[in-house]
Amino acid sequence: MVELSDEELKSLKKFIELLNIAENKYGLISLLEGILEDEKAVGKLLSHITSDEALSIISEKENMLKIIASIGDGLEEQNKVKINGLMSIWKATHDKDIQKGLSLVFTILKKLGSKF
Amino acid sequence: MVKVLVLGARFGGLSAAYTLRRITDKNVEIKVINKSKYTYFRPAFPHLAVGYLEKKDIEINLEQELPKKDIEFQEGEVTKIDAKKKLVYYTTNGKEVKEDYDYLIIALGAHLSFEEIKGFEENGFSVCEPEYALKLRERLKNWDGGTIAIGSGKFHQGSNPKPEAPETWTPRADSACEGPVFELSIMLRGYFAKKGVLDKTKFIVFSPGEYLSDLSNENRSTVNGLYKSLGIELINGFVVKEIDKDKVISEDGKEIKADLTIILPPYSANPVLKNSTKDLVDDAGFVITNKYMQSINYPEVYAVGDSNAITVPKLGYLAVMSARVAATHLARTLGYNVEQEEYNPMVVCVADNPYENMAIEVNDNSWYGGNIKKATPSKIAHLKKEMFTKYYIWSKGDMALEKFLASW
Repeated sequence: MVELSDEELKSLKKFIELLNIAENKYGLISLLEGILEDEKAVGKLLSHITSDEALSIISEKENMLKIIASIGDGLEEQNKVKINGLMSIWKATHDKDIQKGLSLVFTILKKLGSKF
Repeated sequence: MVKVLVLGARFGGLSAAYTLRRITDKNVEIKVINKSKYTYFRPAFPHLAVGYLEKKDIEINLEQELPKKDIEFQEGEVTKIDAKKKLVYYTTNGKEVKEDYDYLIIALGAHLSFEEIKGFEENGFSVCEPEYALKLRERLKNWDGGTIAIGSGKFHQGSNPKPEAPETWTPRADSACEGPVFELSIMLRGYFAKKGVLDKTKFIVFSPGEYLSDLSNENRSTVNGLYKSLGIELINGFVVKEIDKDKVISEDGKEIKADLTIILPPYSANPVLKNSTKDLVDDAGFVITNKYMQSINYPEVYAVGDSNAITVPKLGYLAVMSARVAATHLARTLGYNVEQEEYNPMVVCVADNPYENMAIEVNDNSWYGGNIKKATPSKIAHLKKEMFTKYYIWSKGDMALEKFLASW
């Protein structure tokens, strides 16, 4: 038999309380039970999760994180690249990072266009 | 121990029983009596007719599922309620049984008056019960073109005494609900297009009054425009009396030529209620209640869904809402500290066209004096209907989250 510490017992009690609320207030546990009994739906869900599309999204996780981080950095440093006219846009295009970014955006636009 | 009997196990009965069970403890005994041990997700009967879903996809075994939630189940056909003596009479396995109660929730639905339409059994089709939907499926399998007439019969609505509730809640209706007529008129197009016979099929839709009168003028105009653009003929003021092999005949002798007639039957009050304590019901046989769904003359009796005079049109969404109102009121009466749910009538339904992966989602309360008038066609609406069907089946009809979803 496994002995539980007071702390673990407290956490377990809290967890059971949460399960009770989930079931008694929102019927969520029996809903989950119903979903698990529905073999067809579970099968569909699993095949979606393991589909090429879903897996390629997961495998692109690193790049997705880079894009999200860049947007975050850009929002924080939004005044670093000053744009106040056509001349400043032209000047900005000499920056190597901006060139890489523009190339990425145009490639994405090209791919987007080809899908429609 | 307090004993609550729930009569009926469709949207109203199940929602009332589950909601009450969720609020109350073991000191309240809840027992559901239903004529069959199976209940269905009824809005999907048209899907059954076009072969998009199977009967088992929309079926719940009450005998198996209700006891899991501490709700007793009894298969039996209710024949009479004696509200004065607090007794319910029902037959089970050929025997008549009488059972007492402390509180009663009537959720017996209305009566589908097919018998009023001459020739229905021989020549007519419907989708109001699984058997009718499956019979229609067989007929549609061999369909190779022709004229289809789809419409509803009249609604025998009561008028006296009136419910003790805002009068705007109970507008006069010619038809009990024309949502399924509208749904079928667009769903069958998708089905026939898939079969390759759409261009050989003509649709005629008829209504006993003004079609979809429970919707706003704007939404009705949109539907009229849609029908015109699709070549669907709409005939208002056609009260069906007889269905012949190749035509439908109205009470005033008009005829619609049709190779196939699909009818949502006239709606009247449940015969059980007409056979019960007289002052429980109005002049048509619907239970008269206050705004908490509590009988005016018998406070220990509640009525929810189609059997209550308050719910107009006879709509699943309103049945569930009225059930929550009744259950919370009864729980409060029993001393449970729970927020009282309120009845806010609204026409909420989704007319689905699964074979074309789209649906029209309707949210409209203009009939009750409100200003919500949405009718939106989209692919998402179809997906919402599919998910809502799944939610009902997965939860075994215990849709505790329904009030946050409203995606019928």
